Amino acid sequence: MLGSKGVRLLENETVIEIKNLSLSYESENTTYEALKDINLDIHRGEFICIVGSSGCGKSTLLSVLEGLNSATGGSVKINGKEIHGPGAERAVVFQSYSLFPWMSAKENVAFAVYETYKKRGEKVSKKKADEIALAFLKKVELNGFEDKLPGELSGGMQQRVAIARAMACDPEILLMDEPFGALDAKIRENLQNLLLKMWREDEKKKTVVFVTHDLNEAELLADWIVFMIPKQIYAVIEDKLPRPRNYPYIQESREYKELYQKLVKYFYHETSELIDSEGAAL
Amino acid sequence: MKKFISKYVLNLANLFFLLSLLCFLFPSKYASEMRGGLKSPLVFALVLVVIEILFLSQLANSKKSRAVKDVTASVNIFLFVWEFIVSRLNLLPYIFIPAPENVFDIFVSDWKTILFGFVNSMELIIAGLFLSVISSVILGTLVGYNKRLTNAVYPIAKALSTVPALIYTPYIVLIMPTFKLASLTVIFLSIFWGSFMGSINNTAFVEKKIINAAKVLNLSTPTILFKIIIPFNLPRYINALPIHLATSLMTLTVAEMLGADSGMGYYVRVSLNYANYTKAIAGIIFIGFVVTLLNILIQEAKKRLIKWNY
Repeated sequence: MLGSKGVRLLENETVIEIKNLSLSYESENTTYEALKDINLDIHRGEFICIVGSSGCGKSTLLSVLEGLNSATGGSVKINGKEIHGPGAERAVVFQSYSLFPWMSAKENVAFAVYETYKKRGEKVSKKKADEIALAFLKKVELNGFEDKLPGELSGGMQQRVAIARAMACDPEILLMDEPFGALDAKIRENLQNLLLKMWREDEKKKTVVFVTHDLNEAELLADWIVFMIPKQIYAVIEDKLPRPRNYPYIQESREYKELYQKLVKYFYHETSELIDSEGAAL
Repeated sequence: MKKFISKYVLNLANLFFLLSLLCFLFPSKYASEMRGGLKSPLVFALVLVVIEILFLSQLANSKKSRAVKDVTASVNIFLFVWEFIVSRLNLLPYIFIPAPENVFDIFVSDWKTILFGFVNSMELIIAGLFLSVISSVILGTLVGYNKRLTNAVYPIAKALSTVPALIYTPYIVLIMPTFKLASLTVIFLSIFWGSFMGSINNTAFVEKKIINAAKVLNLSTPTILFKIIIPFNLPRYINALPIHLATSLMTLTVAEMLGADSGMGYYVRVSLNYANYTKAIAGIIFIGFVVTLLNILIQEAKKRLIKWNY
C-alpha cells in the first residue's frame, strides 16, 4: 500500500492537515464507522481529487472539511487551526439543488459574497457584491441569465451558478462534492474545462478538494488523486499530466492512458482484495 | 366564426342566463300571492349580467375554460331554479324562502348596514389573521430549528391545537373587557396552534440541501432562520392562508353572535332573530362573496410574490 505522506515533492506549505481522523455514526444500538484513521496533508494551491466507489466515505470525508460533520476522533486543521464547523476560508459546491430557489442567479451569488465578506470582517456594500456577482456570472458564461431563477435554468447552468457563487467568495479552499455528477457527458466536459480554466487563471491559486467517482474526471483535474476504499485512504497517486489540460484532447496522450490503466488496476485490486479479506463482493 | 360561437355562445351557462332573464316576462305568483310583494328585479338582473360579463371575460383569457363553464353553469342553474320555482310559481313557503329579487334588493336598500358590518368584521379578521400567522410562523421557525425545543414544545402544541377555539369562545367573550379584544383573541387562538405546528414541521423538515448550502456560507442562525428558512417555506404559508381565513371567519361569526353590535355574522344573526330571512340569506351570500374575493386576492398575491415552486 502506498503511504499517504512522504511522497510529496511539492515544497508548498500545508493548508489542510488531517490527522488520525475517524468518524462514526451512533444510532440506538449500533455504531456505524464511516471513516477510520485518515491521514492526509494537502498543500496550498493543489488540486486534490478523492475517488472511490459509492459508500466508501469520500463524501463523508469532504463533509468534515465542509464543517457539516464533525470528527469523532483525530483532528482536521486548516492553516494550523483546528476547525469547528464551516469557515469563511472555504466555499462549497454541492452536487445539485444547492441554490436558493427564490433568488435569481445574481442574487444567489451576491448574497453569498455579501455574507462571506461580512464574516471575514471585510464588509462589502450590496452594490459591490452585485458587481462581483455579475463579473463571476460572466466568467461562467452566464451573461444574459443573471435575473433568472434557478428553476428556470438547466442543471448545467445551475451548477455554473453554484461554481460562480463559490469562486466569487474568493475562498482559499474550494470543496466540491461530485459537482458534475448529475450532468450529461457533454455538459460535464464543458464544465470541467471551465473549472480548470478558472482555477488556472486565478492569481491566488485555490486549493481544491474535489470528490468524484469518475476516474477520467479525477485524472483530468487532479494534481493528486486520493484513492479511497471503505473507511480509509488506500493510495495517493500523483497525476503529472502536463497542464493546461483540455478535454477531450488530453485523452489521446500516452501518459493519460498509462495513468488510467494504473487507476483502473487500483480500482480492481481494491475490489479483489476486499473479496479476499471479507469474502463479500461489492 | 363557428369557433367563436362554440366557445362563447353555445353552453349551459348562457342557456340558463337567458332562461333566467326570460322569467321576468312571465307573471309572478309570488308578487300576487304575497303581501310584501316582489321587489324590482333590477338588482337581480344586474347580478345576472355581471356574472355573465365575468364569465365571458374569463372564457377569453382562461385556459381552464371547461371548469369556468361548469362553475358558471352551476351558479346560473341554481339562480334560474330559484327564480322559477319561488318567484314565478311560488311553490315553496315564501316566509322561509324569499324570492331572489327580494334578496338581492337588500344589497341596495340596506347597503349602509352591510358595508359597516363588513368593515368591522374585516378589521378584526385581517388584524387577527396577520398577528396570528406572523407570530406563529416566527415562533414555529425558532422552535423547529432546535431539535430539543421541537421535542419539548410539539406535543404540547398538538394537544392544545385539538381544542377548537369555538368551544371557549363564549368564555373569552366574557372575560375580555371589549368585544374587539375578545374577537381578536379568539381569531388569534383559532389559527395560532395549527399554524404554529405547521411551521415547526416546515422548519424541522426543510430541505437538507438548502440548510447545508446556507451553513457552508457561514450564515448566522438568525440569517438562516429569517433569510433562508422562512423565504423557503413562504409558498406553504401563503397556501395555508385560505384555510386560516375560513377558520377565522367562522370563529368571528360565532363571536359576533355572542356579543357584537355590528359585523357580517351579527347581521345574519339579528336578521334571523327577527325572522327576516330575506336579509339573513342576503347576509350569507355576502359572506360567501367576501371569502371568495379574499381567496382570489390571496391567489393573485401569491402569483406576484412567489415566482418559483419546490
